[in-house]
Amino acid sequence: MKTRQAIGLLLGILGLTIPLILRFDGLTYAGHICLGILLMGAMFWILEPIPIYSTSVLVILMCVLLLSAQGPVFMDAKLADIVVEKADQGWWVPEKAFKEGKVFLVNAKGETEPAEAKVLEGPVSGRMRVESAKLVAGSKVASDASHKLVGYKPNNFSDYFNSLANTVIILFLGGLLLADVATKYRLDANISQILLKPFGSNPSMITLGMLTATATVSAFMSNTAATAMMMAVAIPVAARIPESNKIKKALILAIPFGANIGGIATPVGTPPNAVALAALAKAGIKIPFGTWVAMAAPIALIMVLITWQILIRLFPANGEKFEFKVERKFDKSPKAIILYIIGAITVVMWVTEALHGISSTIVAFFAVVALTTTGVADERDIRRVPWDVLWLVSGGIAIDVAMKATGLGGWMVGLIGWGGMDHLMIIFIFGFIALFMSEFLSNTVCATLIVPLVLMLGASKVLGNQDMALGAIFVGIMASFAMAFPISTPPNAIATSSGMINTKDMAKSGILVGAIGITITFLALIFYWPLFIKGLM
Amino acid sequence: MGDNTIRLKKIKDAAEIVRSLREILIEEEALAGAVKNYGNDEIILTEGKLNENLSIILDGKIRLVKFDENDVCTEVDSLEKGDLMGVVSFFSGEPAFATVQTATPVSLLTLDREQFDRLAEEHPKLRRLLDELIIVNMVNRYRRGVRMRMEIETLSRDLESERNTLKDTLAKLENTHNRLVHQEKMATLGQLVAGIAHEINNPVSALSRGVDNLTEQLKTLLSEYADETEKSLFAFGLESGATDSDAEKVLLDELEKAYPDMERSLLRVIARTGAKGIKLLEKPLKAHKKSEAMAVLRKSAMFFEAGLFIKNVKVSAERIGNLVKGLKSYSRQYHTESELADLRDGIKDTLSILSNRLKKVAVRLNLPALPKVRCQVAEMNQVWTNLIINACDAMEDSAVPGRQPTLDISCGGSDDKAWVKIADNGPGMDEDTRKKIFDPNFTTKRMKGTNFGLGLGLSISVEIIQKHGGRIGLETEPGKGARFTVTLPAAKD
Amino acid sequence: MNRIFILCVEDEPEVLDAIVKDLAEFEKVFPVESARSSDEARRMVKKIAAAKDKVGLIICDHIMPDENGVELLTDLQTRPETAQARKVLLTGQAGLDATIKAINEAGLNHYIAKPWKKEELAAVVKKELTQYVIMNERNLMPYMGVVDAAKIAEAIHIRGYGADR
Repeated sequence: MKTRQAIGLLLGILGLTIPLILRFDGLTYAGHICLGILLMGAMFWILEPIPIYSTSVLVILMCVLLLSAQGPVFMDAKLADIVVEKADQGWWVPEKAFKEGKVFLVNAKGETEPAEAKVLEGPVSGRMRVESAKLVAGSKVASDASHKLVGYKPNNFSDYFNSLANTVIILFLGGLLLADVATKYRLDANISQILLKPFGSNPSMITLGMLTATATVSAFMSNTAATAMMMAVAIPVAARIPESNKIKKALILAIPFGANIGGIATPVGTPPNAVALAALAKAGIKIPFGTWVAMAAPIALIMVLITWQILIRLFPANGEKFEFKVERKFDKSPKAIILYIIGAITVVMWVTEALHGISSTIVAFFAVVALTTTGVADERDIRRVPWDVLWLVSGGIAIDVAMKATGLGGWMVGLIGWGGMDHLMIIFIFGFIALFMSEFLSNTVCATLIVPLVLMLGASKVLGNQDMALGAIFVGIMASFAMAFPISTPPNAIATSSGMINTKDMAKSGILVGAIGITITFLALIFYWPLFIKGLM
Repeated sequence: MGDNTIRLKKIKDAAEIVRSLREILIEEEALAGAVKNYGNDEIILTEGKLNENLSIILDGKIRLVKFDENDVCTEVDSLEKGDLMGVVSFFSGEPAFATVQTATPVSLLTLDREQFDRLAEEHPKLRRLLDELIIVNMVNRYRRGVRMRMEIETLSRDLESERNTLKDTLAKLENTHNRLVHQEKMATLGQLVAGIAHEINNPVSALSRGVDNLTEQLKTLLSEYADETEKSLFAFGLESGATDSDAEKVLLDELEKAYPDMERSLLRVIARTGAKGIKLLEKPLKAHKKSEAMAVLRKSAMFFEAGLFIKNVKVSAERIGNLVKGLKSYSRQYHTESELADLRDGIKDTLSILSNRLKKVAVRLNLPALPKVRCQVAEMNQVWTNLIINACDAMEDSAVPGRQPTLDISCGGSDDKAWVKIADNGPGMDEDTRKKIFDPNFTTKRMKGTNFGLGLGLSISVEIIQKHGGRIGLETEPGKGARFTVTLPAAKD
Repeated sequence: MNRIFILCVEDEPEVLDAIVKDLAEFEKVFPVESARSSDEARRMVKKIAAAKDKVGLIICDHIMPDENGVELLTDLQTRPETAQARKVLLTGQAGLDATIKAINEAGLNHYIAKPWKKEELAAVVKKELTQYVIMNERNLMPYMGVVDAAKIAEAIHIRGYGADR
């Protein structure tokens, strides 16, 4: 185990235990537990003592064990309540029922509700006389305000397990299986070849072609798969270019950059999108597939062009032309044809969700069923679905559920005085943090850690619903714009491994793309996105 | 049997019996019709037909013939005056076993069964005559049988010996043919090799001279432009022998542990320079700025490698040169005049040609000076090749783990002869094999892929040696190896 | 990470020097180990296995003292630590019999005729190492820069390891 991992393990365990030892004012008992899980999850995700996908399932398990009604902590918990006793002025409550200026009303369902109360007298023989506007005759209050069920109604454990089959997860499952099968029938490679064809043999144009093709393919399949596929196309071309011609580097860099940029274009393009969508859906804001595409695809298009310019300016061609052989051989077997039809229908139905109203998740699941019943996808293809990615997103969803249920989110938001800050400023800062963090961390993990914070700001009314939605999408997209280092994303790692570019080339172009990316996206957030979001509110 | 008893001790002559018969025929008119006359080449009786008559040849000759399935006629017997015809078929009732044909005009006394019985009854004399005649006939047949049997015996003996002669001749012919073909092959190969050797010699000379010059010039250049370390490293490279690879690996491991950041390919070269080289390079190796140190080391390593590869070129060029030299003298032209030769040269050439084959064999040479011999060198080289390859095959086929196959080649001589002994430590041979080993076509070997037809077997070697007036001897015992000794007469002058 | 070795077996030191030098470009990723006899080759295999490293490629001379290259490769083919290794025979005399035997029994993947050209050797080594890592390694990326990157990229793609994180 490396030092980093050892530290990660230690910090994770510390993170889990400290909130259980320390007491934070204003945070519920369950909130402390949730904070512990969050800190542990964050440390594990960031420092990776265990694989990030297993951190995700660990988080889900922790939520089930420590926070759900069926877990050992809350399994037998019963909140003792007492009917308040009318006094001449105010009400008599047990001494312990009063805490930090509050008593906690208990309703018929056993839920608690805090009520501001003023102490009039006491404690007198274990009782206090308090005054509160909410107390009426027959009101029940929790007899112990410090009880773990005060301020927290445990979720059913299925709420946490459901994160594994969240509607966004199902959408993603459909996307992943479709991409998986498309790879099997070389549909992705063929489409990329078609896309490359119009760009001719001028090396600068080939670079644009690579960017465009990779971005397009990557919009519907994983960035990493798109990169690997396009690298196989580009490396033989690049190998013929002499070392002295810098365009070689542009050509190779075009691929990971194109893949990262293309990933933002559709909800299924890359997992951070799913994280943002899932979080927003939990908050009741459902963004249709087509709407996301309308919002993000133009940014991807602009970024492709800008990245192209950055690359050919940093690594200019010296005028030579290259033979570029396009090799297109569409599989015409019946199963391949079925795949083409299913793929086309699925994509069209996704994009036109706003017109017919059928949820993209349903469409995705239709694709899963269609692919498997027709035998286009067999059990091997299903096994090849990257479940780790799905789990990764699920872990984030579970944390999100827990933070909301335990009141941790609100408490955390309350720690910082947001009042004076401009909403756009807040959103920009979160986006920037996401961009910065995901240069070093998994994009999905970054989105998982930061998107919930934006959501909490919304829930706490620091941000309005619209700003919250914009912020979540912004953070999701920013997580994809980190591409300065080989460790930033798997596409970058693949490209660097080819040995044709070095880290320095990637850093200087990647930082530029990131910087311009955040600017362009932020401008879109201000001037363009509201056109779509307003309609959803 | 009374009167009719036949006295076997004295049998009358057939001619006499015929005479008596004729007398009786004159008396017996009834029998006059029984005498029949035939012309030339008339068929009297056909093979396979039933014969009712007993005939006595009174005059003329007839022959018995048989036809085979192709209707080719073979004469199986001939009968003449006084002989009986159809005795067997007449008495046994079996069909005639041959066709009867007249050879000259013939007069026959032909009796059917009835006539025969009557005659025998009425003329006891005739009866006796006939009996005698039959006995004579039988005796003659028997005699003829015995004679024929003896003739066949002699004939087959002759045939057998003729066949053996033919077989020997054929074997000799085949052997000679093989030798001629082989000689032709070797002669062609000789021409080919001589041509190629000549062609190779030129580039090899250029290579060899060039690398010598290059070494000198580099040394001069280095003395001006390189520092002491680099000069030393170049010299180490030039001198580096086939170093102990284990020691080198230990060095490399140590270096890798000590300098984990350095490229392994670089460290390998440094390890190759040996302990003294590492000492020279200690300073850059231990330097703090790794990238600069690497650049320095890379450059230094290049000096060593330059020396090393120049040395490798030199060694390899030398090897090609020697090989070409060996090839040329090994495959000297056939059918040339015998020449005065030192047998040791031929052996050395052969060994250099066979070096590939001898990789697994330790060769021990003990070759003191010996008298010169007049011989055809190329042919003698064939003998050495043959003996050495046989020895290698024998040792290889029965390799004993732990025992290094070893070939001992020694020579010696006196005033009138020179000898070469080739001894192996292979399995040896039993007495049976030892006796047969020089026979043509005898082999204990299975053909090997690597043995591409050099040497045709010991019999040819023997022939070559005999042609030179020498002999070959073999001492061997199972498990104790084999020692072939070739002795040739020393040249007179 | 476990290292993948290239093992060169050649009895003549000059030739061995030349092979090792020609392989220097691979040594960044695939360390080279050399042996001058089949015994030494076996010792090297043991040493590499003991260090939990692997042998990815064996380049073996054909005619050597004590045991020829085909025999050695045949033996190594039956051993678990070298069964997966790609095997290349370097031969001065490519007899058909020996070649057939080598392909059938020694699991020979390629043979190179002596004298070889550096480009030819490098191309074969690259191809064989690419095959080896694709067939034996899970994470292909560390090898991409040295072996056939296009093939590796394709393998990553086809395996479906290309998941975003």
